[in-house]
Amino acid sequence: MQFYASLITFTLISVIAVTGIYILTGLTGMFSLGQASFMAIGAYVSGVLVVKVGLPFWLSVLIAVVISVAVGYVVGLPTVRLRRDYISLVTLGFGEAIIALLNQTQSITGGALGFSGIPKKTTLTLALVSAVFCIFLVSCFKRSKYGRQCIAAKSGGLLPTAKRMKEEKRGREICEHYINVVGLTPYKNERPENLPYGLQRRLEIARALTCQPKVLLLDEPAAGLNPTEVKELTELIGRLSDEIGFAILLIEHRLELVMGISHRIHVLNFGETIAVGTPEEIKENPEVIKAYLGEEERKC
Amino acid sequence: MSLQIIINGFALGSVYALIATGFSLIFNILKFSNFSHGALMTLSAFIGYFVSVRTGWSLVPIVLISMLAGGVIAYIGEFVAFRKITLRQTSPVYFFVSSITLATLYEGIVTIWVGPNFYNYPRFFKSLVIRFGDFVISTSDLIMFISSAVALILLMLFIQKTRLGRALRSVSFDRDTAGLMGINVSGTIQLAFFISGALAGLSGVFLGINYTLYPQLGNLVVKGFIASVIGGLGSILGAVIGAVLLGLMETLLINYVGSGYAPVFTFLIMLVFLLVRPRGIAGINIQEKA
Repeated sequence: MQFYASLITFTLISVIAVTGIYILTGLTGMFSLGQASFMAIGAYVSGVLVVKVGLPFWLSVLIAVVISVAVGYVVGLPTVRLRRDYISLVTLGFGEAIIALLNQTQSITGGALGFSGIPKKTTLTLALVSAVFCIFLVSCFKRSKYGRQCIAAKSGGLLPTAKRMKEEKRGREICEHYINVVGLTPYKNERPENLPYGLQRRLEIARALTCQPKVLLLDEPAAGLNPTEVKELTELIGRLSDEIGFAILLIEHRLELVMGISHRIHVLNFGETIAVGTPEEIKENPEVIKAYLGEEERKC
Repeated sequence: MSLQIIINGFALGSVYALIATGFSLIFNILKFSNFSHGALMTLSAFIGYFVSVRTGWSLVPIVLISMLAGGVIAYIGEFVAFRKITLRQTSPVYFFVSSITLATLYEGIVTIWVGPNFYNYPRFFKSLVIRFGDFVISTSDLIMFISSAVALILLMLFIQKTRLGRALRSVSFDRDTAGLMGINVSGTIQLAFFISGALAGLSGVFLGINYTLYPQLGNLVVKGFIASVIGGLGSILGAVIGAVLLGLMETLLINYVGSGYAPVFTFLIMLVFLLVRPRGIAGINIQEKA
């Protein structure tokens, strides 16, 4: 019975140690190889205070915790802002340093021979209560503002606060709305690079629309599209300007698109405006015909 | 006296440089800290030791055998422990766990094989010290320094001047693109592990000669880690500079505060270094890639 009691006590002590590792590795994703060294600090501080100084056990535990925290802070200060590899390397080095330190301060710590004669206060009940308390503490910490910050730091910066969740939800709604507007709802869960070229173009337009522009600027939206796709694009752009009602500035040389939807056309030739007008006026304009088709007609 | 310290510091630093370089090589190419490096050092040093006891060969073949053993074991270790992780490009956490497990395995092999005892290499040199006027250099220190320097220079030339070295650098820089350019990425990673293992073997033998040989000899790898942190994680030249600096600092510290406290101060110096110049001397790579 005695054996099992001490076995369970040791297990519970390990549980306490693991809760500490959980905060470091589980929540923030930092790999500390120095957990045992911090345990050693706690053990030696408490032991020395009880045996050599004669402090009461509980006070020594409190001081031991404070000192481990302080040392942990100092070790973490320069390292946590660096790559995660540094945490492992530095805590590993820290372990070596602690061993050296404990071996050197033989008069206080007993050196390599160990430190004995500490009154045995660790009962099964105490270990159980402490372990449960630690687990409770850690789960509270995890849910607290700081715990969420740790999780956020692990995943790369942004806090999953209520406000952010709300904003994310709003963003998602906007995206889905415009995906619907351009008619991509059937492909909602597809990755963009898997879509055919024509649909990718629609997606680009949807992306521009999510910013809710006053003027939509399209630079050769029909480039590389086949005639069917151009026709669909023409319909889409026409519908957008009717439904949402913003101005669209379009640069394009596919005439079926330009002539299909434009209200007013500026024709450029070598950087100079040669004609301005409605599609009908432009079709009749001799300058435009000359620029587009050459002067063959006159010769004939 | 002070010049004597500097000489000893350089000798110590040169071994640290070997450790740090072997470590940096892997860090560069796979971007993880290879914690099995120290245990590999011990394992290959013990292989060298037993060969030397059985055969009575001189230092040079023993060093070569240890290097070869280290290289081959690292090569196998890469295949067993890291290949799958590399190919799947999963989280670096697995590298971390895998390398620590591999270290435990190596150390376990050594402990089962030799027990927890201390071993001494046979005496390879006739005279223990060499005198230059007033200065005394232990023969093993001198040989250690020269061999380390030669090995490091050869390695630098290899990395900078040869085709394979260029492949090594390009795979370190961007594995995917290097693969697209027709570089054999897996082969290059294996090569890096082989070289790293060979360096582990070399440093293991010298540490064994200079101190004693015991299953936890690999813990000295921490010095290599500290050296590469000071020099700048991921830079081989930085690792060498950091190691020499560390060797000098340690020798000074041993001289003034005693050998026991030296690791404590070394650690504090590293912390200060990280506070003041986290990039290290020649460092890149301090922030996690987004």
